Amino acid sequence: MLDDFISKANNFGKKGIPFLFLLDFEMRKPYICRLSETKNKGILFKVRKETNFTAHSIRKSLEIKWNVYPVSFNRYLEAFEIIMAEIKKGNTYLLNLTFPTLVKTNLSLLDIFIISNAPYKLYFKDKFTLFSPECFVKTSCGYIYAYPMKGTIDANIANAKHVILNDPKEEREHNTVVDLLRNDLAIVSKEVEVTKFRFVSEISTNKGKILQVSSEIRGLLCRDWRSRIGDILVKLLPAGSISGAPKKKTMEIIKKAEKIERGYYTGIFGIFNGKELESAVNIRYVEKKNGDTFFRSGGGITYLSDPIKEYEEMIKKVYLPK
Amino acid sequence: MDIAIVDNNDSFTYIIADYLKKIKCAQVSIIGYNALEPRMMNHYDKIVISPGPGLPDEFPKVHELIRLYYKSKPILGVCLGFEAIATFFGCKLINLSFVYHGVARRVKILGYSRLFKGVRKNFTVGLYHSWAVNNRTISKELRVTSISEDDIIMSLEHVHFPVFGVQFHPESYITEDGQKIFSNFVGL
Repeated sequence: MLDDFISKANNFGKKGIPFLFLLDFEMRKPYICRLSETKNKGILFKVRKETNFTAHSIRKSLEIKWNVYPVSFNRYLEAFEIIMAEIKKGNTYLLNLTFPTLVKTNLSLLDIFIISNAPYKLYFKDKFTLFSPECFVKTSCGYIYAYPMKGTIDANIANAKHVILNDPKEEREHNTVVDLLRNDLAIVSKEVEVTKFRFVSEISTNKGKILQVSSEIRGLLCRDWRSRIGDILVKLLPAGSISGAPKKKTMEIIKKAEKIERGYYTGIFGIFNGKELESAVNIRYVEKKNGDTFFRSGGGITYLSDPIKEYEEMIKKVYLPK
Repeated sequence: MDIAIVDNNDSFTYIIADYLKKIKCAQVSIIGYNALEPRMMNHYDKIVISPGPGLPDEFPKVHELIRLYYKSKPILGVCLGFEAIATFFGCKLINLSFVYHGVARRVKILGYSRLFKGVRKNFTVGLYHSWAVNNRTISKELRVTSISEDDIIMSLEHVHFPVFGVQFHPESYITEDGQKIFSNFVGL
């Protein structure tokens, strides 16, 4: 399955054929198709300015219902404690813990896809939709770039920028994810460098403005990278920001703590436009399962994490960005 | 020069490789722990032991590797690799009550070490550890070459052989002069 994906992607890359790709967290259900065939297959996407979708407005009269039913704090705490014990043993430094939250809503997945606002959006065959703010990797002029994002704060808090940049927990988490992504880019490129460290950008949400801390890392690709595009993607997975470090051991701990498959949630999707590649991490993810709607969210757990705050943060992420 | 990096299932190994590859004439091979056969490593000129999760006891082939080559080849251990060198020579580890993950600390170099040639005497390092060497258990064959502002041992080296261990991560973005440390090791 994965080998088939790799050879198809390599082949499209080599011939300069535009395509869309989608990989799940467990890397069991890779998906690839020509960009020109996406719409017929029930896939709608937006990757920054590129999209196969012309906006049509949602039923205007509709009053949105949106009620959330997260897992209990006890269930969350049980997983959190497994992770904290492993952190103290030195088995993981950073681990992204996630849970599904049941949402009772009158919105369909397509409605959610249409009304949400984000740089990366995907609607996949009425199974799930996502509206992600987070780039996974992109290429530009022979370089591969990653933009790890860790640390957000309400922009209305006094001295918000100063507060977030001086928060020790955020700083450690950011350092860890920068080192992890430097490592991952070094697997597929060379002369890896951090070109921007902990820069702050403003994002608008339906709950007001937030500040987000990111870094920019790049590495030099070899000349024939397009004919190895499938290999490159697979070597970079799972994405560092939604797994943790060190990856292999951390993946085992995630399985033990979360106990359910993540599927396409926290996988990646993206497009190759014939020349360059751009991709997103599959977060802000809503899926249909047996008629119910689930929103999946989570956050990075480190030594300094507080379970109550992390639990609240996970629930806070269950919103629609407009 | 052929340098082997033994990868203890870590996620910083490729940064180490990227640093080493920037040095002229360094040929770098990464050998995953599962594939490691200590006896088959004789054709490498130098060995780097990567960081990794857990404790040295969980990576017994690394102790075997040190036993086979510490008298004949330069060895550099990073974090778990450092802890493997320390425990091989009889030091004991302690589980810290404060965990240093993604933490920056100042480090002071003690005396002269070839590994730190050209590195400033006080410098910032990136740390990822929850275990440390108990400073009352330093074996006679090793000496301490740097210490952190929290009085935790940051590096050790063998008194006779070119065997070095660093608790901090020279490959971290947070570490100043990290490239120099790798260049010094390659230049030994």
